[in-house]
Amino acid sequence: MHALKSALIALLLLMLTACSGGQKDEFRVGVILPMTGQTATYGEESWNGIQMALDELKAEGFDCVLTLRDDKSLKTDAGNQAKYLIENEGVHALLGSVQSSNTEQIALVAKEAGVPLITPASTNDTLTKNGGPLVSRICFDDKFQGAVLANFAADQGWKRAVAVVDKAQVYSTGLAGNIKTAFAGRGGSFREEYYVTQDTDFANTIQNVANEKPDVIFLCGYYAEGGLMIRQAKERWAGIPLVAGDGFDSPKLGELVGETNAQIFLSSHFAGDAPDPKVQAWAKRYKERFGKMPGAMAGLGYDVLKVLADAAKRCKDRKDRAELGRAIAATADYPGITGRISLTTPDRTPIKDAVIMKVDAGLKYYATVPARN
Amino acid sequence: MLDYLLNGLGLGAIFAFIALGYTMVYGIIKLINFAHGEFFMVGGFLGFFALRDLGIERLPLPAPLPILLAYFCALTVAALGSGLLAVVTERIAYRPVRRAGRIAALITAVCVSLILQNLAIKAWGADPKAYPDPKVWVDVDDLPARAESNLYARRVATTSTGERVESEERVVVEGEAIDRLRLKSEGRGEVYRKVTIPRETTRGFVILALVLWTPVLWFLVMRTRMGKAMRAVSEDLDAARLMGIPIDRVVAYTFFLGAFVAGVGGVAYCVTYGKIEPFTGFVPGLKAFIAAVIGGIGSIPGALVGGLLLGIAESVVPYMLRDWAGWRAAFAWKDAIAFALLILFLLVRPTGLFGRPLRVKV
Repeated sequence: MHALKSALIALLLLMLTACSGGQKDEFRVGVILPMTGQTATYGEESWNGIQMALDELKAEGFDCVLTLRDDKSLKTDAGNQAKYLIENEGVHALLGSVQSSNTEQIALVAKEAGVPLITPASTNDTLTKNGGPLVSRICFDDKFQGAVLANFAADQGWKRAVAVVDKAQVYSTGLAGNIKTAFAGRGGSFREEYYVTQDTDFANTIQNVANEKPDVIFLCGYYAEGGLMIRQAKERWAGIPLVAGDGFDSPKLGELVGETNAQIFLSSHFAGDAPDPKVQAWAKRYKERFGKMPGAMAGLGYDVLKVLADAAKRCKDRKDRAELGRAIAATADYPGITGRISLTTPDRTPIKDAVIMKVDAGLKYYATVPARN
Repeated sequence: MLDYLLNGLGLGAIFAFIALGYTMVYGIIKLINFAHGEFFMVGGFLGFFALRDLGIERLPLPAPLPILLAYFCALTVAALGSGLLAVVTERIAYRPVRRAGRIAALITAVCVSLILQNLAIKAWGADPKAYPDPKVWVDVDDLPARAESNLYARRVATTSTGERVESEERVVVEGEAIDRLRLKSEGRGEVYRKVTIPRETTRGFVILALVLWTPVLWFLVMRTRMGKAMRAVSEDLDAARLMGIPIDRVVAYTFFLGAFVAGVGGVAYCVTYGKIEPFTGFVPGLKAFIAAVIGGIGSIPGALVGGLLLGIAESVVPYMLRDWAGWRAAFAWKDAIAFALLILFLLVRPTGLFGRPLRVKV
């Protein structure tokens, strides 16, 4: 009996080690994305973009092994997946995630383990600063995005604003703070109303906002709750323009909102239908492969792996995590599909253009807002 | 204030719908059926598929009839489907442990809840889906000369791999002329208008359905032969068995009734708030449990009153804290406020509003 038991345990251990095996000399990259949950379209689009980049890199002879883990749009899972990838897969670099609250958790783990991390899309201001020199991003931050949104609204002549803020996400509270500063600078008045992630009943929040009779409503949160809120607010918010951040850039937004006459604008990183021919050619290739137009996350996913590969190629030993981290931070003027990316800037946050999109039976390109100088 | 009261009433009516099932099952076999929220969720999904795929909206009947019929069918499918699921669940999971004590049954209920949730994720995906908007189908030849903003066309295309892809697109930009022949030749000959159901309508429906249903349930329990059997089982299960009451049938009947109501509630909830996902039943299920406890678990009028009270408290108390006490973020804390109220209430009245104090049998 004992012999049988120990044999079984030995077999189990063997299986476990076999699972986490793999060749020693590979360049291993861990990818953490929200493949399920409230922000699942971000994960899907980013991963599509990463796949496209990977195929191109492989054709050029650059080889790396990607391991994808799902953070389920939850910050606790994000941290755990980062631990798993570092401890069990021995990754040399991490890419991810999308929601700032989740990336914050990954950054904590990465910082402690000394593994370089690049986030494709997390915009919260403090993220790269608190994360230390190994944490960088390839998107603009919310200080810039807040100013873009506030200026856009002020340029339209809207003076009284209410922001609807997801109290459970650092992205939302941070973005609201930045819009407030910039909007007050343009002489506008600004109030906040709150909800939390995974709410489904927004009747009271909608009522609170409607009571203020604002000229414009800023939406600081993600599309899953936001889209539902706009759907439920059709009557109460009729005629009030809505301005949202990049958290609303999702192919799912139109479906959740349903039929509406509301004017909805949002800022984002990239528009597949922007006039730039380079972008359009890329969007066409994406559409041929995946059957739909790319959203911002697809572009950022594509760029993030390319930026990592670019840094790895400049390393003497790309598996030396500290050297890889320094190489990433030395990225200068990399021509990405979402714009030029330099990480030599303060807090390794690139200075990039933003695009404004309009929601009209899907997301349509509206305008480009040039990067600050 | 009145708006917040009405919002709370609408939400509370849905809690009451679910609480009815909780309270009936508890009344009979003293089981807190944590899977009840999942019956509610499955009802919501069945209604979703009925509305999306049955095509009842396309029947050639005068204007509002197809839509009304579609919703009636969705409610029926959801109610019967989740009722059936409850009966099957009871047979497979609860009956074998009925004699094993209340803790075993409670743990089984939690497990069933998780299993159903995960099966739903496996079957229907974890991401939230928008609930189908009602559609008014228009014959292409009857289209107005110039397009309106909410005219959509359905296009069914077959890809090179033989996969059928359905998509939806605007007919033309608002105000442009409609070219009927071109629409047909492009395979977009099926045109519809999307309609939004006003919130007041769904809210009115839920409250009306609740007002109509509770007396029916009360009648079923108090005035029918089966109801008499239910009450006997609830008094003393073993004595009822000795009197020749078919216990298993009575329990299955109770589960069916409770889940039937939850299925209706599931569709009403999803139509009101506009989305469905496998986690849809979790929070409402928990709140309904609270509602049942506030009302006095085991009491049908108690579930009704408890649900409405909880809904109103969740809406009006944060309003008072925000507008009268100046706590701006009160609405972000509405769940915490509701749960805190429950604890306070139970300190004062542990048996709930309509609950009887437990008699200890010697």
